[in-house]
Amino acid sequence: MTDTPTLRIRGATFAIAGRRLVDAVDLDVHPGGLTVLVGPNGAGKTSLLKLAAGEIRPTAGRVWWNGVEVGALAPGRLAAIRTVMSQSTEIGFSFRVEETVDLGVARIGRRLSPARRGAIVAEAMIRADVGHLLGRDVRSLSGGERQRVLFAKALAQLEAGGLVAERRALLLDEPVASLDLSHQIGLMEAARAVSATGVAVVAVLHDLNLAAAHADRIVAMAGGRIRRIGTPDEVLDDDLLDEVFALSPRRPAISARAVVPQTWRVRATARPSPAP
Amino acid sequence: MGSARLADDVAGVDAGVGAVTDGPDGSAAERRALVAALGASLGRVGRMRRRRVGLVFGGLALGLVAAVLISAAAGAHPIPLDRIVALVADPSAPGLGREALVLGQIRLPRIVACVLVGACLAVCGALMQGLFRNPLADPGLLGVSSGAALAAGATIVVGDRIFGQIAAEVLPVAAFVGALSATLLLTLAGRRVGRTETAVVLLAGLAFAALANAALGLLVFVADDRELRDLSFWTLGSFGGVGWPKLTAALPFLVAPLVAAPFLAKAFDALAFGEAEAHHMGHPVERVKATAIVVTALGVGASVALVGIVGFVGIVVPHAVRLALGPSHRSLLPTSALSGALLVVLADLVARTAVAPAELPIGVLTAAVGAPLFLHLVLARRGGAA
Repeated sequence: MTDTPTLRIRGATFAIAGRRLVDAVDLDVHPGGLTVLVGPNGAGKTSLLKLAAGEIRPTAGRVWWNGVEVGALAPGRLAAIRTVMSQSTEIGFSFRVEETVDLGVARIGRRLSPARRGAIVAEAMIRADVGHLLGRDVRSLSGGERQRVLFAKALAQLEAGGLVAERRALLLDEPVASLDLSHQIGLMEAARAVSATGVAVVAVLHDLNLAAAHADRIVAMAGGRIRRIGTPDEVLDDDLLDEVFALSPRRPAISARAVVPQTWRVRATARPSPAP
Repeated sequence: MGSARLADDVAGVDAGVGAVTDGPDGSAAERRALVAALGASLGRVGRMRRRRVGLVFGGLALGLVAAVLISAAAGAHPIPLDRIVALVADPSAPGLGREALVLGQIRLPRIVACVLVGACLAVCGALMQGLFRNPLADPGLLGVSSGAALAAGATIVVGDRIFGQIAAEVLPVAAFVGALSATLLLTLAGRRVGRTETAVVLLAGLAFAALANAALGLLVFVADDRELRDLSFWTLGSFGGVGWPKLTAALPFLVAPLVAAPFLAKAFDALAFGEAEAHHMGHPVERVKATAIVVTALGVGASVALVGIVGFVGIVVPHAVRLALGPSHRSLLPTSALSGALLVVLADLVARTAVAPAELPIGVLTAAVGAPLFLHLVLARRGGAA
């Protein structure tokens, strides 16, 4: 049982009109730990995440959650195991921030008392730093604020899922795309905190610095395939830039590791200290 | 264990998002205080919301009872309220024979039909808006009602020519098939583009409505006098011909959306965020969509079959309720049902008393209220949303 990965993907292929967006991918994701998917646009990161989420069916290959094939899980059961934060979400009606976060709990937490539900929603809102947006219409928020509200919704769903599913996962598709620098770091720290509780976290990121600072494991994709896989130290090097991102390492000012100075990252993990 | 565990985890991990909040220090104790304060605010907001919903719902229920009583009393043969009460208590009371007949056989079925059709159309409107994630979707606007009326009209005119006089029971079936075809056409139009593209669905619906109305116009052109009267009944709507037998036949279909609504409400809230999102949150999206489409087609088809097209109820009522109570379907659907019933009872009351002994087509009245509100909705949307 302990050997069964939370998420197992074998030979997963997803093709549209003959084009293989995801091409025979094998991937195991174990409890705990933060796996970051990197790669150029069109590498298949989002499609791979959607395959894992059960949102699209693989053309070939299979996906299991805790040893059960994804197609065999009822939507409610699947939602308790894995929580998804999508890349872009258009919202049809003017829900308030707290209503939006509560929607994450509405289905899988339907047996919870209102008080417990409220506690889960409040905790998630504080963790995603949207407590001050209480009562606001989600559609009136800035892109970054809305993204944080959706993150709070995901955290709430994940927490409610913990009541029924022992081993869970959080799938984040470009969760920091429109966040300011401090909230990018804040969100990644929150994702790390979640992974420290035994939840398998998988995030698609474009910022290699952010990936380097927070990932336990990096999966580099290009052309629908996994090209490199390992710890940040193993994967993030000049070869990766060349092979995966088609960037010549000789070009100055682009290095995988050090665009943002190390000192900038420290504030998020340690207590703020007087800057030197 | 859930949130307590979460709080402890957070304490153990030292800093999370709190480190980047405005506070000077993201300590766990401070976070717990923040969570507790927010939890209290959430509780307060929730209680206020529930009270507001309760007040509006109660007010509407009282209003509906009052409207039903006034509607039962008013008309060509006025019946004082005290005699209505006496009749309801004992329909065979002596000395009330004529009034018992008027009330029991003419007015009561008509009022019950108004209540059911109004509630049904308002809920169907709210469901279509949720399904297509667009506050402008409406069975009338998107051609579902037109499809039903066209199928019924074609049955009248074409059926007449081929089979002679056709049985009255065929018309509701035809109206339902028309409504279902139109709804399926709409969802197909949406699916062609991959995900349900609301703009495409709206445009396809408008185009289909125009086409159906043109075909109805053609039917009017070839129809003889008797068929013409029948046709104008379908296109403008009237509760005039409703009696118990017709109402009983339509009843299960009118009630279907009302029965399904409570089971769909939560999933419809999630659908506002898109079908993929709703699936992520654990809702059986395909089943929910199929149920909504079928009950909407049943409800709209049955209401068109019974009283013809009563426009704009499906768009005006949910919009007004959303403005008052927010978009959550758990309050939207039941409140829309009550408001729709109230609106149609009142509209029918005006329709049959304003120019008595003649009767206004009820579609004219609901459109007169609905069109300006609809315009306001479109303009406000342009100004408000990005």
